[in-house]
Amino acid sequence: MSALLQSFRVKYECSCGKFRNLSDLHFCRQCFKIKCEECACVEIDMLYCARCLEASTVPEARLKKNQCFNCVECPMCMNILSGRTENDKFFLICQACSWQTREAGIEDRDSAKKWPVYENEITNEMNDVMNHMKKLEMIQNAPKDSKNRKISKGWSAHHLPNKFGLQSMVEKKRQMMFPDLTPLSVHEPEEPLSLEEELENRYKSKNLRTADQIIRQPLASSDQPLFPVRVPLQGRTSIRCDECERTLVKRDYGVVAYKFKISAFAREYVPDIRISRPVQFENDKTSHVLLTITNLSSSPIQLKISPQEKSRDDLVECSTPPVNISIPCSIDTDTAGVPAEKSDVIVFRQHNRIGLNFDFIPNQSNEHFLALSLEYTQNGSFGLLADKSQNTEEASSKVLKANVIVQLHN
Amino acid sequence: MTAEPENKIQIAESAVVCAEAQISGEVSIGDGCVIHPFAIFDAKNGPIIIGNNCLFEEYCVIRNCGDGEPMIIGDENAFHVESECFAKYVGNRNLIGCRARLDRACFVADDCHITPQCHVASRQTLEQNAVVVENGVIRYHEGNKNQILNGQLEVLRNLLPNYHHKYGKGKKTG
Repeated sequence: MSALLQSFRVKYECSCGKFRNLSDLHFCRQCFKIKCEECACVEIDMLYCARCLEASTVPEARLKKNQCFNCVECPMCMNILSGRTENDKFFLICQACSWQTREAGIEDRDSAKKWPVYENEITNEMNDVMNHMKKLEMIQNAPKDSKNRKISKGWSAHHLPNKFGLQSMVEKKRQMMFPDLTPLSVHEPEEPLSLEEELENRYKSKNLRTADQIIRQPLASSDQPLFPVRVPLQGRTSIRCDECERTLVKRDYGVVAYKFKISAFAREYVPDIRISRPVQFENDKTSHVLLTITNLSSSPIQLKISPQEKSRDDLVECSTPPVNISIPCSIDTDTAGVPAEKSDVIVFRQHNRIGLNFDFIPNQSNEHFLALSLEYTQNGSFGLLADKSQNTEEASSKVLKANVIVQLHN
Repeated sequence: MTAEPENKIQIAESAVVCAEAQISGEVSIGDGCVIHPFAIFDAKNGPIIIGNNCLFEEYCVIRNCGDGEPMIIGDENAFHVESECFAKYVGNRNLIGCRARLDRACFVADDCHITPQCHVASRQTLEQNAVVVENGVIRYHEGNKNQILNGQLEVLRNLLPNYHHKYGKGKKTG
């Protein structure tokens, strides 16, 4: 279908200098610039599981190790596992490769959720070490903290009789500032499996593991069976202009919603150019290309299209003079009856669409590109949307520019 | 010049074979089989013998490429859409995915599963419980039997005759 519409053959220049499809571009209404995903800031808006569509916040996701706790994937082929019941007990089966949880030695369970995964064996030890380090940090910072606390040095609660329970309070604070340290036992490294043993383990079973399978479960050693893998969370992005930091694209709240809260796609502001007929080439003779220009914005566009000079070898030489046209917008029904001005260049006019004929002489190489530069002004949409402090007239009469490259060969 | 062999088609009474299926040569279809429209059975080079309760979906091709030797397909096999089978022997309870291909003279034992778009090479032997995951990658699942398609077959046996004529009785559509 995309080959039929052939939108990929017309590329627009982004403000960062790259040429991209119009559908991949955004338009910042404040800077009047075309932005692509690479030169704009892409931020993660929300984390969610692509399977059960459960959204989770960033700290929550960190706790879950960026995995969904409810959904599991097949460790063999990465397809989603589905539950099946037998004698009121659940087991999981992969529809694609018929892997079952029974193969991993997992017994059937009462609920289809919460399947075992490999945990790091030294998690507890790691936590102990973390706590110890925190205590050490506290002791290190204690002199600084007591300096900041602005207590007169001459007075101390130690001299008070323990009448009002003050003594114990002070003691508690002291305890907090200088916690007791119990030395931790040293971690004793275990002998890892030798390479020969590892290889032997791998070849023991009938099924060899692929690198992907091993990487997805690094905690499973070579003699342990693979368990179902928790589905990793995915991020939903919002896009922000890198210059004025205004949001270009923001999805609606909720994971299931597919609408946009804010959307500034370039196709709503920049005239859309397509090749409408297959291009016929004749060597060293003038050939024609029929381009249709559509105004998808909410206001009429004053457009000037001028072919660029041949600056590269693969560009074709265009003999058509610059064209000035005005294209009504799609919402405006009043301007439907625009007089059909026809010339050698303007082939047809259809509501918010105009067909233009460009003459060019093909070059010697196999690649033919037509470079066009657009200069256009829009009346309505920017006046409404631009910052109120700005002069709206200035904004509406601002001449916008865009460079387009049309791929003429197939 | 050899005369074209006569069509000797034996279809069990309980089998549901749609009129649009193309069957040529010596083919025998067992009890309870369901054959969708546009399935192709080509037994010009040798007979095809199909067991009971098999499922053949649309555009699947079963062709005997041998030299007069019969091609045997066991019981409760499922051939999904556009799968191709040129195998010499297919056992019981096998599952052949969409667009999968069993090449010439290969041998498939019981409870095998060929995932979509995968090929079994010519003259290859698939042992019991094999799963062809990608082309050339074979995994074995341990002693599980493939699920039998009884429910699906039951529904199809009731449903298909409502919309299609039976093979050899009535007009073809489409």
